[in-house]
Amino acid sequence: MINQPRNSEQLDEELVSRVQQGDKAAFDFLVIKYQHKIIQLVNRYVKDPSEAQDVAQEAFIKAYRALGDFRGEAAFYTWLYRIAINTAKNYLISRTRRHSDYQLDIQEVETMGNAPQLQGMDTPEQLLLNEEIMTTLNKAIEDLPEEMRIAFKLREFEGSSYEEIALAMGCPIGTIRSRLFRAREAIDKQLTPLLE
Amino acid sequence: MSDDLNLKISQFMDNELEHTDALQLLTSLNTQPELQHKLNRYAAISHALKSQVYLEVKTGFSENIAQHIQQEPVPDLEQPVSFKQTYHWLALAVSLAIIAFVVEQSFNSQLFIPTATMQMAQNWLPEHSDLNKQISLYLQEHSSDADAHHEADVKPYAKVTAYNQK
Repeated sequence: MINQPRNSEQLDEELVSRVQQGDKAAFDFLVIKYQHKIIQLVNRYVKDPSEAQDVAQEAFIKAYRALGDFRGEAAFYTWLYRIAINTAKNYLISRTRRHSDYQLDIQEVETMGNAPQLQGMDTPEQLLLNEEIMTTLNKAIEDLPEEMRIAFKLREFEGSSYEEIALAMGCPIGTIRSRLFRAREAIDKQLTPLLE
Repeated sequence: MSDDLNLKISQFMDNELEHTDALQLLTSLNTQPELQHKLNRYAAISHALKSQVYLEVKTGFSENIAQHIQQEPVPDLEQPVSFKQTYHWLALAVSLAIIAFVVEQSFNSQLFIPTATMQMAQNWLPEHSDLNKQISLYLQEHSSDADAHHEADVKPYAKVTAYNQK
């Protein structure tokens, strides 16, 4: 889950070092790079997309404050991941204390990250919209030309690198790069009417 | 928005963009919200395929954090202390402690126990010689230890100074 290619880790190391030397803009880059992953991770615990964004924001701010202590013994994302999980757990505990008549213990909080995420879609409208998006998404993938669909599935479901996909499909890396981009564009175009 | 930039966003999402290109793209993403929106859409699609939940990052998410960070002080970077440095300081401290102990011991045994010196002298010199008696007498009269106990046969300092004249 926390596997990061070497390229990505080197970039993080440089950005962290820049932040530690006082370059605050470098932290913006780290936020842009990891905002999706962190929001999605937090949402697994919080199960409310709107709350998840607030908790993720808090996690990033905590990470910024703690960056002085970050020694690079672990990869930056691994470190950030732990901060995000702890922030989400603390949020859940405080939310339970505020709103619930039962106490949520730490073991319950630990298991929440593994529960199905659809629980976060708490209104019928949200559930319906999500279902519609997922149907459109799956149809958009099936509508892709075969070579694009195979490349896309190898990348998204198998986690294959461009080099591995190129080898599997017997074509240059540049072609794979282009196929993946065009696949994403085609899917995004089909989703746009639902999202705007 | 150029296809070239969108292609780079797609590559960046897959961690397949070279270091310099990634830094350039991050700079563009930081200043162009529409590019960030594109990245958010690609990321949401990717995540939805794995989790069955479509979750897009709110517009302004990173800007809010950036504004917050501007009010924060720069993270206080604690200087890492390497094991080697710690070891050097420890070795120096131990050496100083040993030297201090040895010096103190030698002072105590040789300078500040005159009775011990006196006894040593008595043991080493022949018992009945005149010189022995004279030295023994001299040492007794100069012993601060003996002075402190007001022993009966201790001679006052004036008598000792007269010793040479005799």
